[in-house]
Amino acid sequence: MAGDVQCDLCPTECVLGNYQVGGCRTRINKDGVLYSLVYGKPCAVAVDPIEKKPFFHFLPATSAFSIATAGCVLSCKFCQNWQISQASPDEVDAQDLPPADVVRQALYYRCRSITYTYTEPTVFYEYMYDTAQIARKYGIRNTMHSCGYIKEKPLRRLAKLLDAADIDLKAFTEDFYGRICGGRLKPVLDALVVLRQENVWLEITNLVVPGLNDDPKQIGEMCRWIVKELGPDVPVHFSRFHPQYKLKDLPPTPLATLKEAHQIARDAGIRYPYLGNIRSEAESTFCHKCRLLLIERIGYFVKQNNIVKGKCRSCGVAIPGVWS
Amino acid sequence: MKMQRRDFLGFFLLGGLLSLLIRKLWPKGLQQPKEAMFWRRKA
Repeated sequence: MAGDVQCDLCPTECVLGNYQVGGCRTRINKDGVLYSLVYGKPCAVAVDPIEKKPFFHFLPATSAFSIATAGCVLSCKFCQNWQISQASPDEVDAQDLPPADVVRQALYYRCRSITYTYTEPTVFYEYMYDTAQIARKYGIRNTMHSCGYIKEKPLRRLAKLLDAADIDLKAFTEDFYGRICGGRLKPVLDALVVLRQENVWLEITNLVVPGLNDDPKQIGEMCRWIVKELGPDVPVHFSRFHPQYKLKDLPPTPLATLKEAHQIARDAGIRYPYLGNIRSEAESTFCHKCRLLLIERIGYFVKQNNIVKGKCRSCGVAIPGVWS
Repeated sequence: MKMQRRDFLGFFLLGGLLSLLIRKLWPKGLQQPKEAMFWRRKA
């Protein structure tokens, strides 16, 4: 008789009986073997500007071939992609797109990178891993946008194929992660440190939700942790919340709140804080030394780029990032 | 009827075309489920 299995991909560590599906909805125990239900079956496929991911210090003004399957390891009440992240694979329209075909299409659309994104790439780990291996052979970079809720061993293995990661650091309290996301903060902080150790280019996104994670003191603590543990060069994107899913009663994040978060980050020593989902000067990149406008952005469009061979055109200081 | 070389060739080609057709019409039926990379059996 088939026994229980334990999934070792994310910190939830689901224990599954025969034919039981994991909390992420993408793994199943069949006769004592754990299988992926989403391998090669993306429900979202698109070519996006890399700035949309958002990556502001990684191959600017290039296209990212972006894919996602259904499922997620968390259940954030504010999820902006809840229609597919909180769905089961059989509840979405998915297409058959094996790893080799992902790379083929990325090449066809002249994408410099493949981004595993939209929902949560951890849940389609095997698909991401196999695709990333092939992509490397063809000189295509691999990036992911993830909540970072993944165990160390799979993360370190994946990091060998990853060129960049944007991690959602949703808040800086266990209470928020438990109450609002159904997870824990500590594994995400550990994942950030691992990515830094593995020299994966790192950017962080913080969705600022009014009344839940917009406390200036907490934002300050988060920024100081980032500077201390990851370094001042990690770009941090403070993103505007729009009412979605289970938090439709909250207002969108006020611009003043976002600007305050931006200033707190700068005061904490973060060299490249940005604002996202909102038009402002804080979408552009300024040299941390001489304040020259380096990359002017309007939305996802790069209007001008004054970074020359990875350095500021004016003062010559090296600008952190992957520019070619 | 005595089988000739062209008959074998015909059957061979027919088999190949049939296989191609099945792959196109029924791709899911031929796929093996993908085993997860990180898991363990519980005692």
